[in-house]
Amino acid sequence: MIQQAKYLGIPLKTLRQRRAFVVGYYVLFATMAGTGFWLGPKSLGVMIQLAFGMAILLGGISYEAPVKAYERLPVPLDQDGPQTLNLSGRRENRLWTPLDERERVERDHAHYTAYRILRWSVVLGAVIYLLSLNWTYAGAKWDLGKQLPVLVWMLVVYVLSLPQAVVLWTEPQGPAEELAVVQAESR
Amino acid sequence: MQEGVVIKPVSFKGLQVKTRVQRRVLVVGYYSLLLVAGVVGVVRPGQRDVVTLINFAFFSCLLLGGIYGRGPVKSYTKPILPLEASGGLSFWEKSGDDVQMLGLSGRARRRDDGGSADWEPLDEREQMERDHAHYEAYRIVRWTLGIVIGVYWVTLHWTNSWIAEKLPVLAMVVLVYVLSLPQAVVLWTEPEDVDAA
Repeated sequence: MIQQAKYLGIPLKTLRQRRAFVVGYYVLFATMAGTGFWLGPKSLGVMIQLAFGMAILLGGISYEAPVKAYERLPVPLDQDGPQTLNLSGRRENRLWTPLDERERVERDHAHYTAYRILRWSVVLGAVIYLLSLNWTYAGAKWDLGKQLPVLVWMLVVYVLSLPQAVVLWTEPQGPAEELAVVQAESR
Repeated sequence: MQEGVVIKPVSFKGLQVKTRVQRRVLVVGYYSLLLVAGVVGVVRPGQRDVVTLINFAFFSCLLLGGIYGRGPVKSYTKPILPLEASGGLSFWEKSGDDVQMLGLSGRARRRDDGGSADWEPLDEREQMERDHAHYEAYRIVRWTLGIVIGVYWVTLHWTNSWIAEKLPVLAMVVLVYVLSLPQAVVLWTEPEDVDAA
């Protein structure tokens, strides 16, 4: 499912590197959310733009990012047929290749895992929210409604990025990667 | 019913779930109920009935099964047993003679199948169905979220204080929606049983 060995200058070849990338991503996410809470409504415009960038950063729902796109590209005409009129050239130059059967099974399982995490996160968030209602209701000192755009931003980025983070986190080491790690450790 | 389907019983709370039409009616009815409850919660003036909201959310989330053993959709995960018995045998066959079990699997059985004997853990094909249903559910969540956020940004100038006021109700609707969606996808997409048709 991982289609690039390097992304934005960050190596993604081994399991450790991929996990470090995921941790870095969510550290960035937490930092931006914290900054959003601190700045308040002033940060609204910037956050809208950043939500798009953050959500597609890991791939899956976008192309040419570390995780392969989950779905096939809608190609107007079949590439091999005589009726293609040579229109598929742009697609050929991409890094993207369609998912095979094994990758589709991996994708589905990653979404199941992501959904389990999402389920627990949502329940936990709801419980914390309900417990904090006495202090965060509309008109209170810590009125949560005023921070709603930041909360919405967090929800969007978190939900959209989770399956890709699961793929990056759980993708097993290939034999070549394992050999490289063993060789590095033996030195 | 055909072997290995994710749907467990043929009847649930007096509603038939044997055919695809019946299952889809259940799903439509479920979300209609959620919609009505959400509208009532939003429209009712001065609502701050947190206990009612929590009760409603818990009841609604568990209704379709999946994350709970007694709904129409089979429980997604295997029960957590204290010790793993030898492979090859099914969960039920492990108890009794196996000295490793120490007779501790009784509680897991009561918790996950609600005391009924017809519950079985998901086989490999069912696990694939479950995973694919979660992929489809995630796609729906992604699109729904996109649409809702789009509407939210567009109407921000007029609705910000209103939404902030109704936040508890909206949070509960989001919670129930997210938690119930994979089960709804399973019920909606489960192929028609040859015997039932």
